[in-house]
Order: sequence, then structure tokens, then C-alpha cells
Amino acid sequence: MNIEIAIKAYLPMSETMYYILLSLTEERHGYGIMQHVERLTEGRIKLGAGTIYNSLSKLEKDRLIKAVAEDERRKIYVITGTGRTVLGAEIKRLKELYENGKEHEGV
Amino acid sequence: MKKVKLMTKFWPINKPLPDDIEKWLEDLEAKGWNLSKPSLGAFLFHFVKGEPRRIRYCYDYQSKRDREYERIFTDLGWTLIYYSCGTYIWSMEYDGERPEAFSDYDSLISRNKRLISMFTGSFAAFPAILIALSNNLDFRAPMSLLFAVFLSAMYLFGAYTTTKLYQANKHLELIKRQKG
Repeated sequence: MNIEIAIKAYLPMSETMYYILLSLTEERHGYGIMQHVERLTEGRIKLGAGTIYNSLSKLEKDRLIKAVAEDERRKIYVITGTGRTVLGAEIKRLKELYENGKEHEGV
Repeated sequence: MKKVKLMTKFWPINKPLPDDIEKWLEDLEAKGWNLSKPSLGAFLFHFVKGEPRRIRYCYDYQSKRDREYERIFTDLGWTLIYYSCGTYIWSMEYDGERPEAFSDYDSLISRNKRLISMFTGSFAAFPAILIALSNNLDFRAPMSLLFAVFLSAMYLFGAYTTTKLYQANKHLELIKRQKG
């Protein structure tokens, strides 16, 4: 997927996609992603099995992530260059939201 | 010796959405009707009377059998209790919060889409089946007539379910947009 098209298609990102991409800045399999996201969000987000599978299939098809290995028949994924660019664009967008929100804190 | 109580139920035709089927099975489990085995492409469900259980069911469809999909489900604590022609039924016993296999709108919407394409695929095959049968069917014979009625009923049921799935997705898309 062309980077501009990918950014348009994925932004604003759902929390699910955001945390899955964030998790895959290191190599992980589906179960590892679920555990990592649960830790990061202190239990707030518990990704469902169907959601993880669905998201990984979509991200792989759009080449934002790729399968790099297999461990006991679990596919291990990692983010691609395109994935990093899209994630970077989302972080930039979130920063803007945060900075603007901060100015109005306590209003 | 204690007598084993058995019960067989047909798929709940009036509530055919995956969420409805899951809830229906879970309510029966809570009353002590333990699901022993679905059959006939998950149109018939067999139950054994036992202890009430808190079980979460997940009904899903995949166009082909997929090991990676199954691996993620089993890793996350689901047990596969039924697979036939793409239809998956998963279960998980739980104590606290009712677990979800689909934790976001996108994956719920795509599950419905998979089911819609499964049903519309069957519709496409329907006229072909009728044409193939029409040469052999003698509509004066009661069995042939019964079979034709059965096929038509299945067709209507499929059409009804597909409409319901479309409506469910429209609703999910709307909530998703409002939240986004």
C-alpha cells in the first residue's frame, strides 16, 4: 500500500490498531500482543482473539506489518517501514490533540 | 442410576445473529443445559442436563480453515467445540467479566460481513440446485415436495438472516462513526 493512501486509510487510528502497531515495534505473536497491550493500558484494553486475528490480517495485507518467523506454529510479526511512517503520523496527530487539550486543562 | 436428560434444539430462527446465538447458548448453560455438540452445520444443537455453568460462546465464520486463526484463539483461552465448512464455535469458561472475542467495532463488522458472504454464496448455489433437481424431482411425490419446501424454507431463512446482518452492520457503523 502506498504510504499516502495508507495514512489516509488508517488515520485517525482506532485504539486497537494503534496499540497493535505500537506492540509490533518489537517482534511479537498474537498472544504476546494481547499481553503487551494489557500491560501498557493497565488492563483497560483486553484485545479479543478475533480482533487480533482480524487486525493482523488487515495490517499484513496492507504491508504495515510482516510475518518474520514462526514459533510453535505461531506467526511472529514486526512493523514495516510503511507501518512506522503511518504510526508516526498518528503519534503526531495525537500530540497535536494532547497539546491543544493541555492549554484548556482545568477549563 | 440417574437418568441422563437430553435435549435437541433447532437453531433459533427468529434470532439468527451471532450475538443472539451466543446469548441463547449461554442462557441455556446458566440453566444447566450443557452444550454437548452442534451438528448439521450448526443447525441442530444437542444439550445434556448437568450443572449450571458460566460459559462464553463465540460464533464465527472463516472462508477457509486457518491454523493461525485457531492458534490465536486457543492461546487466548478459547476451546474449539465445533468446526464445519467454515463455521466455528468457540467456548470459554469464566468467573469475572464476560470475555469478548471481538473487542472492537471493526472486527464485529467484518465478522458480519463474512457471514453475509457465506449466506449470499449459498443463495447463488440455490437456483443451480433447483435446476439440477428439477430433472429428477417428481412434484406429485410427497418426499420431493417436502424437500422442495425444505429448500425454500432454508432460502427464506438465509434471506432473513442476511437482512438482519446488514441492519446490524449499519448500526455498528453508525456507533463507530459517532465514537470516532
